[in-house]
Amino acid sequence: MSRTLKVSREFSAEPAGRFRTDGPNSGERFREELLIPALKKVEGKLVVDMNDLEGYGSSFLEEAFGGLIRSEFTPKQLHDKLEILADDPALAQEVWSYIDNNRSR
Amino acid sequence: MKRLSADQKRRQLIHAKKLERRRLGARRGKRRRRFSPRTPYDGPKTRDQIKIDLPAVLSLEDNYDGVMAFFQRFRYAALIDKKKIYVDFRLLRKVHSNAALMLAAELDRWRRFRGIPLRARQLEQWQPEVRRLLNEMGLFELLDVANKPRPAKSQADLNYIKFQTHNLVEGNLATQLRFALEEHAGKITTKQFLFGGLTEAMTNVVHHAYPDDGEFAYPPIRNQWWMAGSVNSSEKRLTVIFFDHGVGIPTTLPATYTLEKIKEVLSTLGLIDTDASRIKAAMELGRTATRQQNRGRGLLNIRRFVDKSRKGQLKIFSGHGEYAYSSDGQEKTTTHKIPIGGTLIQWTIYP
Repeated sequence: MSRTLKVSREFSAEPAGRFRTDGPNSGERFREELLIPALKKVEGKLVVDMNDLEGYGSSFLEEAFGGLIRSEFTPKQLHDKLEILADDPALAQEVWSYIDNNRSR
Repeated sequence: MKRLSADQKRRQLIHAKKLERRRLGARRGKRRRRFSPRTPYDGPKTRDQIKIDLPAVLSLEDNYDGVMAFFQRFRYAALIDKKKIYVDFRLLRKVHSNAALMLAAELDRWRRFRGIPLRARQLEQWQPEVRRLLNEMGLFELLDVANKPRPAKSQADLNYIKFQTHNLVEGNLATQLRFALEEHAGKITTKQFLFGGLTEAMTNVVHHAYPDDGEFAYPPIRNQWWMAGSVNSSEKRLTVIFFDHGVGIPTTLPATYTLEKIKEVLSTLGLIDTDASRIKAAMELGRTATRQQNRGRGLLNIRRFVDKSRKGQLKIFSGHGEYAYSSDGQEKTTTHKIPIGGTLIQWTIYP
């Protein structure tokens, strides 16, 4: 069964910054507190709804999604399990570029 | 001599302390009265105080050298020599939000280092329009000035957004700035790119601008940034400015990319190694970094607000360099004699 994680409601409508030390709504915090637990728990697809955000910067996106590759996931696992929902196609494309072009640790 | 009992000694000591407290209290009282807000200010009180005049035109576009000569003099006197100084605003006639933000940041740094509140002097002799603009920008609030002027009626077509400052990546402050701009400019349809640009600028400050081993010409407030904005409703133009006192992009670039890579890009662009060309190279490296590296895209986010608007311009002043980028793709670099003392990013947008 799939689950939808709406970023603006479950995390923040103003995601920004890379590391926890950068500020309150960082990519690192989003990945560790919401994204990884949701990916591990979901049985079907995890749909990450990126709509209704004030905006987004590459530092947040890269750390949140590119960081998955540096921690414990492979691009293939994420293509199987993750879906990015965004009205702006460039946003989804950017997220996948961080996953596909990231070098794992 | 009569020998005092322990109790008598204790009473005498208490009495002596009381007298001393009264004496000091009277002195403090005098000092308090001298600086009381009720006392009208009539000029400098001490002979060793240095008066530094603001230039008539406080704008990086119209008077870069004059503005920077002021800041150079102020910074040296306030932060290196640590002299008693006061800044004379009476000659000031024209204010642009970019240099006004720099002034606010400079006075904010000075105020924090001094640890005592600032007072506005000879307010009644300032140009009324200058007083109004600086008041509308929130200069007196930012600096916690006790005797701030009353708000004056604003011009219909030019509105200023209050200064904001922080030392973290605070997305909510970017949203607040957007709301304030929209009050005068109407809905900003490219708001996500404004947010992205501002929060990436904040992230760059926190990650790169104030390195622990950085060599600063003047002591900084670590990780601190300032931002402001303005709306010209008759020209349908909005301006957003972001500033920090960090070491600057030309200095931090080698921390993100190797010197060989920087030189390779400069060579490809046909540029010699200057601060201005390094800012341009940083843009180019951000653009080409998307597939090879996971960092370095921050400047691209900063430029995107211009790219996604109907018409606009991005200016970045850092070190001695100035880089300008227009929405039609034109780029221009300029080298200045006096460094800006940080990095200033300015978006001028016709949404």
